[in-house]
Amino acid sequence: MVSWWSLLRFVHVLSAAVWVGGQLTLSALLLPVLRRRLPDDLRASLTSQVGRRFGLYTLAVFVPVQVGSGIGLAIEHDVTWSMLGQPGYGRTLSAKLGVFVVVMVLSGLHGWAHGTGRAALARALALGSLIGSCVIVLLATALVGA
Amino acid sequence: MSRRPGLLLLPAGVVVMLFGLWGGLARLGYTLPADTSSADDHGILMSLGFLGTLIAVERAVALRATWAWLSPVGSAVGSIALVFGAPAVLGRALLVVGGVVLVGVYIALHGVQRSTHNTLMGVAAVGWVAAAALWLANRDIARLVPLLAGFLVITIVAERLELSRLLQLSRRARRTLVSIVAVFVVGAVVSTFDDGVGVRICGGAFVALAGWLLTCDLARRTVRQRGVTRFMAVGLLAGYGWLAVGGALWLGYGFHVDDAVYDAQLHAVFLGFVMSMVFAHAPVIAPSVLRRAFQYRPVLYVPLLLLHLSLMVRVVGGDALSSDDAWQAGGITNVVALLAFVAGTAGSLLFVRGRAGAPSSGVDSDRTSRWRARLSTPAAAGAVIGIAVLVASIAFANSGTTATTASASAAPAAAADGSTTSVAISLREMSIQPAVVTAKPGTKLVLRVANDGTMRHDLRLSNGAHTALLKPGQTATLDAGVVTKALDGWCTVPGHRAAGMTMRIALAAGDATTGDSAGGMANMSGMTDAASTPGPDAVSSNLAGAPDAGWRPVDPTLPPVAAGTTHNVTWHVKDVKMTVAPGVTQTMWTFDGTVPGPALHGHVGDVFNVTVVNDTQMTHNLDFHAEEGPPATTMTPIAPGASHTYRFVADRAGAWLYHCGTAPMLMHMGNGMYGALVIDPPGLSPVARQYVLVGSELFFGPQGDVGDYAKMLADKPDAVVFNGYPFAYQHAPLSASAGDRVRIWIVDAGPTRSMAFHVVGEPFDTVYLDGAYTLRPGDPAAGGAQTLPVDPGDGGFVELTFAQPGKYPFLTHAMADAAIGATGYFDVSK
Amino acid sequence: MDALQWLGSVDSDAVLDALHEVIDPELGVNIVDLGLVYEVTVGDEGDVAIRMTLTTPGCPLGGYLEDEINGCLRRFPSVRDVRVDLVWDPPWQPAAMTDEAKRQLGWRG
Repeated sequence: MVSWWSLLRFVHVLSAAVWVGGQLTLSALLLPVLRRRLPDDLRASLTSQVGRRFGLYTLAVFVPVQVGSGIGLAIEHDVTWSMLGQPGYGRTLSAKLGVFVVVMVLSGLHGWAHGTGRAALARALALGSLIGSCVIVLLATALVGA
Repeated sequence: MSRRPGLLLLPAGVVVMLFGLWGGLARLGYTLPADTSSADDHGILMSLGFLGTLIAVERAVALRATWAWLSPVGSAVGSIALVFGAPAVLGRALLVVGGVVLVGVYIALHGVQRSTHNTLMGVAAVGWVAAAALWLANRDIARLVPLLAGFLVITIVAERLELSRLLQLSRRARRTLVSIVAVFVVGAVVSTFDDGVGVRICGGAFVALAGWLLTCDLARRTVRQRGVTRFMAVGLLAGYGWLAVGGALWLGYGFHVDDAVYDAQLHAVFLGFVMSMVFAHAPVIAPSVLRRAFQYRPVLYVPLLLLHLSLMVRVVGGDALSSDDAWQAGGITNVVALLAFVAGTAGSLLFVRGRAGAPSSGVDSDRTSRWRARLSTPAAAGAVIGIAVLVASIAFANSGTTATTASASAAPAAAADGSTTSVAISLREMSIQPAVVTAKPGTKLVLRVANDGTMRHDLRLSNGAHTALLKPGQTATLDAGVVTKALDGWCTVPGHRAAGMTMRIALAAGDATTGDSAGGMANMSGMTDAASTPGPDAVSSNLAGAPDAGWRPVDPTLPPVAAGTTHNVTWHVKDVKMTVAPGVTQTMWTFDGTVPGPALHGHVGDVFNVTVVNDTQMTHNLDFHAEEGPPATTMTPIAPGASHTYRFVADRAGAWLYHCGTAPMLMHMGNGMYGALVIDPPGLSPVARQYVLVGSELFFGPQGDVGDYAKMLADKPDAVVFNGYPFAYQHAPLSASAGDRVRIWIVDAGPTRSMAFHVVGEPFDTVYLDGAYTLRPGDPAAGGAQTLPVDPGDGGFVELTFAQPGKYPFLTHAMADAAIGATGYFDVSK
Repeated sequence: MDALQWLGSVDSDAVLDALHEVIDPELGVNIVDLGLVYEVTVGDEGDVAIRMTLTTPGCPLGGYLEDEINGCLRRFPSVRDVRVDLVWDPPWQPAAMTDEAKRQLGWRG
């Protein structure tokens, strides 16, 4: 049934879906088309604007929502600090948290790299961050089945 | 024609490698949802399934004959068939076919142009055939290692010999190399009948080969070049270093199996040398076989570096310094290195900078190709980062789980391991959520009860704990106490229980496969199952009474050591309903149908291969007290229906206990899963008779059911016995003749009580306990011993000579225990 | 490659020159210096025929080198077709290498 806890879970999952889905859509669908059809300067200004907007959304909305709802769900699941080191549920959760931090760092560095003109590095970081976010989803689904 | 088979078979080989790595991870101690065969077959999957296919594909391309492709097809299909559970005979036979065809390919190439290096590679391929054929004949993979190593190493060395033509090498130097290879071949042949000597000869040859390669090989020159040429040379030279290390280990330690030395011996050669060769040659093999351009990039150094660093961690930290964490960390990074190598190679084939002459139409495709060029390297780097994160996080997330903890932590509600667990319970109309709470025995359980209904409810447990009557929305904390048996819970408001407001607290039975606590629970007695209540515990009217007509005692004679130094046995773990006392039938969990399980007997240094097939519905494992090694790897749990071969070398003498070590261990041991492993110390005196008695306690559960766990916990056995039945050897006394020297081995399986073995009427003149003699005849102190005191889990032996005929009772001098079954006697005739 | 070659036809010398770019990755030496190229013929229609060998018949690099040669020569617009004939007679000998190759491989004298 739909309860307050399930609503919290909904918010957590929806926000994650939008973030990961947004990244995937941009990288796999939008960017190749832009590269093919637009001259470099136009493409560059478009992507940097979109990128900055995405980064702003991440900082202002995504991170607070994920962290807040995540903590709430953890409380509901009786997660304790000591539990995080224990095999099974605990370690899967801490792996998920660890990868989340890694992905945030990679995305942040991606933004910085683009800003300072390091296109190749930015690309590498983007792909790493994308795969990392899929790993987060993988670990999250593993938690549900655990 | 020349490209298509390679496009299919090379990826097939990689797939086999992935399964091989999966098995490798299982062998590193990670509990994965793996079939056991990829773990047991790991060595063959990697060397023949993956590398054999690779080499065979390369040769098929070189010969350009259709029939040559049967070789890699045989190895790839055979390996995949084995992984997916096809009959072993079929898969192994296909591997043999693959090897035979490869020999044929070399013979054909010999016809095109004779050369030493082709002949050597043909000899190497014979190694493949020999190893696969012996495997088909069921020889242990551990004993096929020299042949498998020979196939791979000689193939590589032959290649280097061929390339050395481009160097200004003396004929003598070339002949030396061939001679060293000949020595290796001798060693490999010897290993088929004498593992120890064979391995040492091969080790010496490896060291010599490494020395030759490090001084004479082309790589010493090409390492000074740039780009891909230098990359290849670096990989080669690093590999030669590991060949030297591996060779030294083979030479110095000889034949080992399933220990740290074995791990280092294998992986120094197969990972350090052979895999480094593969990494180094990818820029050459991949384009030739796949007919596709290969874009070398310096990032390819990453997998190479990972391989060598991780191998150092594994061999030095894990094998030499015995750090389990280092071993596992090194091992899993080995896997990451291999995956990174595959990713890097694939990336170098897929993301190739456009050729200047490629057809271009329009500005768009121009832009596309320019972008592809600019992005290919970073994309590859990003992919490598992402995959590394993926593997590392899964490895960590799954680490530490065994069959038992995985199921215990499965229910998010009760994740504790002996500490306090808190579970949220919701009362509503007309049910209690969750209806079942699973907890490990020994856990202190606290329920946070909330009334989420619209009328008043409460919660009462069958152990008496209860909440007050709660208003809608009200909450309460209910201490259920320490969980030792299953409990029922219900709402006491009249009519509510009947309407469905019930719940159960069930015990986690350590059964990972069902994941359904109710199902696993039903196997444990004393746990009330809502569907059927088994009734009260069985009681024996007279423990010492005459046994039933069909009863036979367990034969107490110690079986002689079987011929040879390797002992292969197969046991079936089965649940057997048997009479364990007059009037009492219990379902005992047994090794091979008896309680205690079969006695094993060997000499110091003997190798034991115990194949255990689990014919029950519960996971079990086997813990040999004589075995060394981290339990996570050596005491592999066996899921219902599966089987596993436990291998170990008995390098220490003693009367060792073996038992099932699955949690809760008290239950598994209390219900019959134990036996004796006797390893003779050197220089035993000759005796007329040898007996082995395993002492243990029995805890009667309901008639026909399993033992009562609560009694086990409370240390309240219903009987204390020798070899599984109270007063067994009063009904069937042990025999001896006057003047006989008799040796009696005693192992106390417990699970909890110690024993003080005593023979009434004859002191012991020899006592051996905990690996040493504490009393021997001729001791100047002129002492005699009255008892052999064995603690649970311990064992030893005593010797005595019956001077005169008569009946000599034996018992444990812990009288309360002797009175309830631990008594028998010797019937000594003239 | 100078402007004349780009605009006009190629001759066998130019082709041989270009083949210096095709390198055996294992050795780091190009196929010409290795002495693998026996003959280069250029027809009037821009069809190039190269007769070459490999260091050993069992060498799987044959196809790869063919592709590399193709790629290398196709950027001459006047090259219409490239055909590579692998022959095993005369068999390749290390002495066929140029001094430069030998130097790179550490030969003394």
